[in-house]
Amino acid sequence: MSVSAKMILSAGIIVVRKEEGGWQYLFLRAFRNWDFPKGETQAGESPLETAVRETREETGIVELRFDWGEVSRATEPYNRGKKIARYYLARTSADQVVFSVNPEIGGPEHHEYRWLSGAELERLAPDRLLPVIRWARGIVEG
Amino acid sequence: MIDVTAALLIENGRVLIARRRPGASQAGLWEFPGGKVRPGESPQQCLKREIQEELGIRIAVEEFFGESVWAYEDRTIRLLGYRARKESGEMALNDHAALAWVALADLGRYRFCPADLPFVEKLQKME
Repeated sequence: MSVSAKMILSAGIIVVRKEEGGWQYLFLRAFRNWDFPKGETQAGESPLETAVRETREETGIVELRFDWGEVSRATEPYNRGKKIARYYLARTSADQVVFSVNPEIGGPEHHEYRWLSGAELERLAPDRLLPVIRWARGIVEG
Repeated sequence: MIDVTAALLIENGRVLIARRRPGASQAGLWEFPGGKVRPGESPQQCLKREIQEELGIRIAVEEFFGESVWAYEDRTIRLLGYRARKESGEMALNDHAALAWVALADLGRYRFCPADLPFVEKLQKME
């Protein structure tokens, strides 16, 4: 088995919206962990399809515009080198997030969402997301 | 950063938790009771005062249990947890929606404020 076959690949979307005060990024919290909407890829699904599906399931947001193209950036391996997450970048005009029940856990997967400025995002984010966030900020705000 | 204290009252393998009332920040979530440290007050003094106000009982504050920093939307708090023991008084509900004495093994059934979660994890490991 190759190294990549053992990796668990997740895909997600950095969802942004333009406010009067500047760009805002959607961040989700489960317990004490902050992350973008994301989930594991399923058989037969491209990473972008996974990312769109997971964003819809976790936030209710379906209106996504890939204004910057189908660009993405992956994290370094994390969780003892077993996981990699790839993030796409999309814009929405939605501001309401709806948490729905995940049948596997019998409740919503997340506990809170916030729309954050780029600086606030970096303050809350775990270290493994910082390169991805700086990449996204460079494109969105640059 | 705002210093806030929390009491870990444990009796017979059960810990006291309190549910935040409607209208409060983090309404409906559970926490270990306590409150904000006032200027010039030690965490221990704060905890004795807050528990007297909120629960109507006198406590003895015992050893330090742990610290947890959390950035809420409007403020960042440092939660200081101390083990505590009830000395006297009957429990009253002056500031919360509900109280529960919960077996350490059952803590996972309650939804806690994120600031309190490291204490929940530590208690679960003690179980």
